[in-house]
Amino acid sequence: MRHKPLRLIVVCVFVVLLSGCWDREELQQLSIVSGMAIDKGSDRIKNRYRVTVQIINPSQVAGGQQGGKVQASPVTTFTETGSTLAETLRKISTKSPGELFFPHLQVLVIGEKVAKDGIEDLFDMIERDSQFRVLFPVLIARGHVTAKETLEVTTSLEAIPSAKIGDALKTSEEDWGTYKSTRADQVIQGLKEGSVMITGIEIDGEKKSGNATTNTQQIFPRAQLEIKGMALFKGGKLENWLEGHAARGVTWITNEMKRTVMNLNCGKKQEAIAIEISRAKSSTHVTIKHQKPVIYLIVHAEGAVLENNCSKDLGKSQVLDQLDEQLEEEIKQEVLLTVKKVQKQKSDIFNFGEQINMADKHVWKNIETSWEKDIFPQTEVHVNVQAIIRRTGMTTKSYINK
Amino acid sequence: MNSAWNRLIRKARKPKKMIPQYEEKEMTTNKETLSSSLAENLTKVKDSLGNSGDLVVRDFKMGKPFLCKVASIYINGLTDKEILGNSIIERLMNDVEMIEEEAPYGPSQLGMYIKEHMLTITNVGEVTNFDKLFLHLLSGETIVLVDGWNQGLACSAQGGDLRAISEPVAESSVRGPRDSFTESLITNTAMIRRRIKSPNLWLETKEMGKITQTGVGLMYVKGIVNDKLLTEIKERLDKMEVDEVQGSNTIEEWITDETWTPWPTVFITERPDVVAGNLLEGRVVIFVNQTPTPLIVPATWNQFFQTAEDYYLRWTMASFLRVLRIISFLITLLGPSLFIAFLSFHPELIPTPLLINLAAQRQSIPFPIIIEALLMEFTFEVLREAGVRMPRPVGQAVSIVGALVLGEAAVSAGIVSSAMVIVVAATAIASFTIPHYAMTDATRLLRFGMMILASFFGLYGIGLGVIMLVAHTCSLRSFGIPYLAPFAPIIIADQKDSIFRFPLPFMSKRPRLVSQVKTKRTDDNYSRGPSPRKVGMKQYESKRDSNET
Repeated sequence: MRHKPLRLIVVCVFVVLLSGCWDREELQQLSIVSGMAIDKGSDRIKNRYRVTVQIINPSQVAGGQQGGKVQASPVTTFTETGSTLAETLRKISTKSPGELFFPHLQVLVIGEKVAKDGIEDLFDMIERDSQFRVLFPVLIARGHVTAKETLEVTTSLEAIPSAKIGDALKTSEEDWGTYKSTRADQVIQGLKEGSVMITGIEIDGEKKSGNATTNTQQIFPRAQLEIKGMALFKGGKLENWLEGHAARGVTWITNEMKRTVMNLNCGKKQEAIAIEISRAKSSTHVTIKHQKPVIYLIVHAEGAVLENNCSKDLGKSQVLDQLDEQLEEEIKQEVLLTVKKVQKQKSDIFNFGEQINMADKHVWKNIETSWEKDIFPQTEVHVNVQAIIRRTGMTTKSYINK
Repeated sequence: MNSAWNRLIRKARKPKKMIPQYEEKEMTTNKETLSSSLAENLTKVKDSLGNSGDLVVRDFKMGKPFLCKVASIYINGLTDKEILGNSIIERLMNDVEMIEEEAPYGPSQLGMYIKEHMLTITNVGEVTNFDKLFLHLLSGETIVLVDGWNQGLACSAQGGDLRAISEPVAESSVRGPRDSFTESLITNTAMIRRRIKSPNLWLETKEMGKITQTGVGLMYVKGIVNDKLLTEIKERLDKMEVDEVQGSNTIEEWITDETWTPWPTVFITERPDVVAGNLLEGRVVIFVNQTPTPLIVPATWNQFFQTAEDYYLRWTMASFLRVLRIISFLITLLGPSLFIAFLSFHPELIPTPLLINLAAQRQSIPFPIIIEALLMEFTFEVLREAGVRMPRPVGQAVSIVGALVLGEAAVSAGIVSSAMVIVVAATAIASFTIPHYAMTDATRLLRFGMMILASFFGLYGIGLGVIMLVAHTCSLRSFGIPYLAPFAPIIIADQKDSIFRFPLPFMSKRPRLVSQVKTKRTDDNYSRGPSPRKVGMKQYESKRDSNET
């Protein structure tokens, strides 16, 4: 080892220079952003966006440390307008005490007006900036409510409103299966491919009373946040909303169904039997028939009986077979409902086009230009459902005799 | 380039200050032979020892017909006075009749006669020069001088007060033996003899330290030990040039392979069973008189995470405990630095609810996190040192005040966050599970280095620190054995007794790199079946067959 001291110095210099981007920031100087809302600004250029950030007030959220302090709200919002997201966020520093810290962002809410104008410009900064994690869900604030207002509703049981939205979204996705959540990276992917679906959010009740801690002091809060609807985007612009069964169809087709509950008729009694879908799988196949694509949607589902409000004896296999068929029909109808709506919309949100491209690229080349407008709405879609009821719960025959 | 660099360095150096030169005094050694005049010898001894108060010269006359002058010299407190009285003085003064009948006339013959017929002492040697005389005298033997004979007799009647064998302090065990080494070299080696009753257990002793003349014993099992290792150790011991050998640490620091390392490369224990086990693995043990902790070489990193208890517990538990110790070692080393790195560089890596919690705790803390961490770690080290050094009666005060400084009071005063207290406490507890003190100390020091690195570079710094540490550790050797064996180089067979402890019947071989001479533990003709019982059954069956025929 010649030049040993020199080598050591060189190594030490490299250690400092090669360390890349790093920054030291004390925890108390960070403003942890839990939610971000983007609304339309007052004009089209200078104040294009009105951006709101929801910042956590740690000492109010963390238990045990609040002795003697006045009860403050667990989060604070700061709003600023600007023409680009980055600019607007930096402007907020004139109002917030510390540097905005985004990795813990729980939710991004976009106002419906912005969504109608197009959301394509919103995600470049989010994808580019190292601070954003792109795994947070994106939502659209519906109707008369601005995105800013959704972040200003105090929530009980979960102190941070953004965390509440995130949690509600997750549980509804897992248990109810109707509104699948869309993460920012999925939105970015969707924008690349041309079609996106984003979950909607609404304020249930008086939106004014949400913005006070007194809202949570009531057993039944005046204002509550609610996940509602799926927004369909085409070319980055909000086209239409899917509700209820039609929205659940989206979950079926995109193979995102985890668990849900479906009702079946029992003879004349409508919607009398509740079936829980506990496992589901779906896939899309495309075949080319006479130079025209035919789409096959195949759904496998397994379920269990949760409720049986009629006299059917579930111990008999014929009865269960019959229920299986009913369930299959029910799912098929749901899926077809969604497909029809989407076809009417002339928006290929399920990206069938890519499937066709994979099946036969020559055909796809021919129809690519006119696919969404002319061909997709007329394309045959076959739905094939296989459903099995695995369990009937703790009893077979109900005590109900009718 | 190199020379330019050197010139630069040389220029930067300040000119040397003039240091007054003192003349080195030579220590007086006395190669002179004993004279035949007793009086002359006695004055010389007295003069050489500066007439020390503990030197006892008992001179008397012996035998009626000769009235020969005899003297016994000993150091008060180093001799067993009962043996001295019964077997030396009494024999020489009282057996008058025997002397009258049998004793020869000349003083030199009388000397030999005393040695051969009169002294009922287990061990008598002859001394001819003053050097030898002093060595024997000062190691507690009694010197008998006869007027007219230019030799002396060294009678081993050593005694005096020694500490009894007690329970080990630092390496206690639940099921294992409860004895630990004492300060006496001979007691210590005897404890090993009791454990290994083999003629192959050899002990080489020598005196080291020009002034202290401390007894040093080299113990090994001939046939298992690698001779190269043995010669290496002896060479290193011979190279030592010291006046004093104060305990085994003097030797450790002189013979260790690498001085500039945080890791201990010599193993220390106070348990005879650990020493016996290591001897049988082919290691060499260096006993030092007046030290209850012999040295074991060569040492590997992995040894410092094993305890004697591992071999007395069932292998499942022993393996679990070893893994636990390694994990707590990592916590001790990296715990606070990871906390610093996460909080000040990578808050995005902390789960959101935890981050909110930590942020809430830190809101009122006036210091940056590194200062807070250093403050707490320093306080803990101070407490620990105070606990070791303080006089026992004030122990209570330290524990009461310590709980205040390092506990709830510090948190409510707003100086530190409670998360930091937990991190420091967890680190402290983890550090106590490392079974050997030398390793604990090394980790304690490295922890501070890691904390500083973390505060400047975050996880990147910790990564660098760990890489440097591992690279350095890989480069270490202890008496020719790679320090990280059996991990680097990886030795599959030795993994049976490294992080995990396999059941003992599986460990048919000694650590490969240590002995190299005899690696098999078992005899070749002993076939090791899947379980010992099966072997026994076979023997039983064959015996029964032979009985029947």
